[in-house]
Amino acid sequence: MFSFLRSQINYIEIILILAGISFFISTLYIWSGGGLSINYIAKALYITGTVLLIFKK
Amino acid sequence: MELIWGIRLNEVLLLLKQIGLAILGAAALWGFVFSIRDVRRRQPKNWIIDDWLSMQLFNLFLIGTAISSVAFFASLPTIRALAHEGVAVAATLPEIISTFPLMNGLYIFLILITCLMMLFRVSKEEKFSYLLTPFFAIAFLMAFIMTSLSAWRGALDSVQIFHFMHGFHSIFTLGSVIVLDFLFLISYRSELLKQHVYSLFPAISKVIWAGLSLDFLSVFLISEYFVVTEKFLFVQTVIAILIINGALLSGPIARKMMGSIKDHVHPITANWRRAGNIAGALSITSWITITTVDFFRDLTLNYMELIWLYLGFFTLALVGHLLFEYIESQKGPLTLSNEEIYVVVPVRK
Repeated sequence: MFSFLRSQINYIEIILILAGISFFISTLYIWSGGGLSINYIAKALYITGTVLLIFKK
Repeated sequence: MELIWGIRLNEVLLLLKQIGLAILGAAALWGFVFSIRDVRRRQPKNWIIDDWLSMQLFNLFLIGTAISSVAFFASLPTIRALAHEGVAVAATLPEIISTFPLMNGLYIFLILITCLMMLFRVSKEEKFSYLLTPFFAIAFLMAFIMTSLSAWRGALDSVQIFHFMHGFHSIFTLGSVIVLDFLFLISYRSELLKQHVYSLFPAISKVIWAGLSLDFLSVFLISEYFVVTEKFLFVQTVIAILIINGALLSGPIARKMMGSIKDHVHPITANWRRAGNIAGALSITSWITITTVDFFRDLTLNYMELIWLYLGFFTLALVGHLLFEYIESQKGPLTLSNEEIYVVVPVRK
């Protein structure tokens, strides 16, 4: 399953999926009383992935 | 006036205005792209298809204009009556009302030029086809200004810049997702249309990703105003789903669909088609959800109730997609009629 997914998804999409997972973790973290730090990491990952996607040849 | 779950009538009208503007702005943007793309192509068959697609987007543009205009003019009396209400970083009603003099003028001008184009469409089809490219360009610029000016604080501070960016990103995100779905559905029965529509998938995906980035950047400007509520946590959950789903939809699923059109040796399998339907329905449901929830400040639903509502709308969107596919599969292949070709052929010689 993992090798199948890996063969279908490129590294930019992996960054974007990691950004999405970070948003999930951030939601749980904020819910349990944490701050916005993970949320900022998720957004930074997302913006990095988007910039790479836009400038990809 | 409160309708249900803490949702007020004026909030619904402002939401419809924003959704309508996002649809008309995105239809104008991608209509312009299709209409200008034909000029760069050499084979006559190609530019006829691109022109035809841009004309189809004019129908979607009309729907967006109608929704937005009716909602805006209907909102004028209700919002003025409630002008004393207003909270926190969300645009206050006096800030929203301060844009109305300019918005009134822009809406009247937009309706006038749209009516003029509809007249040309009925009486002078060649002129309509000829004017479609500049019309879409003007309409897109107007939609950009109108979505940016959702509120005016009287000074160009960080919150005002947030209002600008938080407004116009809807054209690139929600609006472009609706355009993408519209193009996907109208091209369902034609291999030729699919070739043209699918070739634009990567560009549309990039614009959608960039649109959400702009929204995230705008939120950095107002990070000190954050209040953690169940609504905020729900939106964060939907954004997580939206990003993971978007990466799969614009990545492997879109590549499979484009591959199936490019060489007919590898047709798309039932599993990939199913995945495409699920991801498409999830994408449109998620975008509409985060836009909608954003407008309802005093929503009384808790996290789990919002999740159930979201899943309910997703199921409806999925059933709608599958039903549409079934109905379309019962019909014959789509071909352009002689009348439709006549409309687009003479003016570009």
